[in-house]
Amino acid sequence: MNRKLTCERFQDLLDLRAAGRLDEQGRAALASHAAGCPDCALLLRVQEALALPPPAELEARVPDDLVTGMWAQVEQTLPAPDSGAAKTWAPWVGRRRRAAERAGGRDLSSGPLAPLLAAAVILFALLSGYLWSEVRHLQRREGRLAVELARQDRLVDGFLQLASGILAERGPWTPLPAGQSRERWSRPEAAPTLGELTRLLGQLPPETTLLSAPDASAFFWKRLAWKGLAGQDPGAPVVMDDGLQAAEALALLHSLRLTPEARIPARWWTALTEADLPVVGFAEARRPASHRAPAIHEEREP
Amino acid sequence: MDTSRIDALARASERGDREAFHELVEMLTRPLLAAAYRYTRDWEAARDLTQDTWIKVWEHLGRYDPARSFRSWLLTVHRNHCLSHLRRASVRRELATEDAILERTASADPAPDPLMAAGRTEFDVLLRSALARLPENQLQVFTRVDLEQADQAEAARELGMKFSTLRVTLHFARRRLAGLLREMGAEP
Repeated sequence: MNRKLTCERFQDLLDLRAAGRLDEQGRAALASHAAGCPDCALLLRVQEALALPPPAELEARVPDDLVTGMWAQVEQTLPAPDSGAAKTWAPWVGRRRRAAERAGGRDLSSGPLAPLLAAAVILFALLSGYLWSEVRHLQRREGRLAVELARQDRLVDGFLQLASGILAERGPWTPLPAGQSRERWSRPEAAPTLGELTRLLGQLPPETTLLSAPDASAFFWKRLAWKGLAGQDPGAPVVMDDGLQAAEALALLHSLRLTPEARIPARWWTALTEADLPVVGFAEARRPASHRAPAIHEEREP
Repeated sequence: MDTSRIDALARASERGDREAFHELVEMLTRPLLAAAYRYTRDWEAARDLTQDTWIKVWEHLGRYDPARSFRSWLLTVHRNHCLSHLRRASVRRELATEDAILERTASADPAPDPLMAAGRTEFDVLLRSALARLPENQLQVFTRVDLEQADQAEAARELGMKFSTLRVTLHFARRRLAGLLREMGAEP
């Protein structure tokens, strides 16, 4: 039996072992196979390294001082009750608003311009998807540099959180467990049209700064899009020292030459997820059939 | 644990009631710490992750759907945060942190609890680095089943996939993980 044990069957036995249901013969088969198969031997070690008591038992072993001290630590960081941070459409809005208030100024990300700001940022995240080929180029030339940079900037997290603010206006959205989000987001009828985004953007004065210089510089995909438009080497360093203005965002949008009815192609979105980036998802709640969007109308491939 | 009480506290918290939120923190911190410990093997790191989760939850309470179980929603948010931490720790090469954890583990008094005595080893560091390089779907499945020790059928339901799909994904995740560990110089 031991000689015939396949690597697939080995994993079945690993599951039985984890459940405490592996008999003596099974344990011998595991050991025998692992002795001649380095990868399976590593899996055995992984299982041993991850072994911990079952959830209920582990909870009982949590140090009490960590539990009793948690509220004191959390409370220190919570925003004031009257700040409205718990009701904001994006996690950093509350922080920015408070910072702006402290500085005696006004924050673009609050008030009636909030959806416009969100539209601009989602626009850039999506528009720059057409430069995915550039990322491929980077990946080929410089290994996994592009993917690592994208991960650092946590673009997808930020994109989805902002997008939820926009799409909430078109229907109720609810959080979705991670792992199910890609499928929902790849549904073209769930995406906003470019027309919707440009109309929102067009209501802003052209010189309106949508992203501050530090924010814009931190936006990996935006830097890439910028280089693509300017015909620069995508691998060269770039400094975004003037932030992102509304007119610049519209120029990028126009360069795509899509019809206003065109919805954001699903592959732009999936191109991002192909990079194995962490995803925080949102689901489209049920809406009346009359609210369903028309099919995709694209003029050309991006 | 009284789920209806928890859900009621969550609704009150969503309206800005800090006392209700305080009560939620008292009731649900222990399972969050235990879950985070599985990802970090370090109680200090687990405490930081749990604290972050509570702050995130407070800021995102507006997204909580009262029709769903708050506890499930909370654990999902927490799990995503732990996964993000796993990826960030690898990508940003937070080796200083990893080294500090290893030092703490090495210098700590022998753990009184033999089940928890394993602590953090060099292999643990390699393993978590390799996990962070798994594709998203494989990471989701592997961490739910092999790291969190969830029932496979339950994990399939939570992740919205067929049981057979979960089994296949788990198989490929393990194979890929073994390959990554081998490339990183881990020994059986």
